[in-house]
Amino acid sequence: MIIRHTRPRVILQKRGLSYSVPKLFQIPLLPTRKQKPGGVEGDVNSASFVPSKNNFKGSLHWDLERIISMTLVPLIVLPFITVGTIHTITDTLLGAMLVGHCHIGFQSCIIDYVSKRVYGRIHNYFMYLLTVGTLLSGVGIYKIEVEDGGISTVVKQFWHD
Amino acid sequence: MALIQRSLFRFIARRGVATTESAMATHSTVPKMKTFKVYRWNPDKPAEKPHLQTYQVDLNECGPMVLDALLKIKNEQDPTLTFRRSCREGICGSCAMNIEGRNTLACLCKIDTNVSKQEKIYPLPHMFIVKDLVPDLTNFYQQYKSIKPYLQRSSFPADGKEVPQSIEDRKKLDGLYECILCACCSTSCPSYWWNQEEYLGPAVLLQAYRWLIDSRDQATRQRKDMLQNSMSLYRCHTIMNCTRTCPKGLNPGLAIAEIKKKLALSA
Repeated sequence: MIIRHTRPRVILQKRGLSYSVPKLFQIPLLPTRKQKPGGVEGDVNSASFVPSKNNFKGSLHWDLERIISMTLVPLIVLPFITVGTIHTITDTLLGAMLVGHCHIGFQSCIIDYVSKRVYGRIHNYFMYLLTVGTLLSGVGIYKIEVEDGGISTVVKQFWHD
Repeated sequence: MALIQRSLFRFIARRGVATTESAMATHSTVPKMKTFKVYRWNPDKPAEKPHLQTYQVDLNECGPMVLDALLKIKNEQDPTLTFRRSCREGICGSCAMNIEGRNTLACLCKIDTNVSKQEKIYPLPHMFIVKDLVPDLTNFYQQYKSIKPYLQRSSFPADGKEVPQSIEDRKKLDGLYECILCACCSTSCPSYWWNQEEYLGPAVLLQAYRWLIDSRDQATRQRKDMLQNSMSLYRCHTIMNCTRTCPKGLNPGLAIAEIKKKLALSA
């Protein structure tokens, strides 16, 4: 049996590391920023970087996300079974909450997959694109509410040609 | 006396015969050759792609756990096979690896005795590999250090050095303090795969929660503040792979949910 001689190596000085999956998911054609070797900065005894405190990106954002999700549960049903003023109010609320829900959902996708760490400025462009999309769909929802009698009416029309 | 002596002799003699018989029985059984496919990558030859190397182990001559098989392979077949191991009883967390598609400790994972099936052993997924089954956990430990995993107090009781804790408060730490930081849960989390440089991951967040609810700790404010951003905590999408894979049967998913609840109501 041959015992291969391996010279002692300091891992951090010379990061000759392999990756246990062939390649990380990357969006084709988009330029990426240079990443830290081995995903690590500093030596083995340093603590990792702690981002600055921002409640609007942290707990308040999470609270908003949960409130919107919870209010959507009754709002999915109410506009379909109510009439008159209550119908208008619940339908408008449903429209607003749907836009908010989708915005937060896509925002989460962008943070996960088009992260600022990897794509830099392109991350911001995606966020701007999302904001424009949300504003446009907001206008669309407004038009549906005013001209077509609300989302629930439009959905009901699917069953009456 | 003679009777006792005789019966004792007879007993020993019978036992002796029985032992030789059973030894002969194991000797004559057919070998149960199990095939193990182990991930290999050598940093001294970085141009060579990682590959699966096949080893055959006779299960009759081997202990019941996957770690026993790995040690047997290293001792008898291939001394270049590299992996971490220490306690061989699930308390050190060194031998965390991906066995049959599940992150677990090799020392707590029984070998599937069905010899017609191959057993595939990979290192922890989505980690940088130092060699063979040894992942680079530097980032993981740096993240653990960043949550300050120690008691932080501004004042100590005047009467002595001890900081007392009630039995009820101590009970809150059950299910958290048992974590051995083997990194099985963090490396099973898809969110940690995508953003491990910034998202702390289930194991470290479980520890963050362990120090948040410790009645003796006085740095709760700072501990909460360091999680108030979009990456450190809120990249958890309750996928719950962490809880499913934990070889110690803990629930990191629940701990993260509790942190979110605490932050949501305090802001």
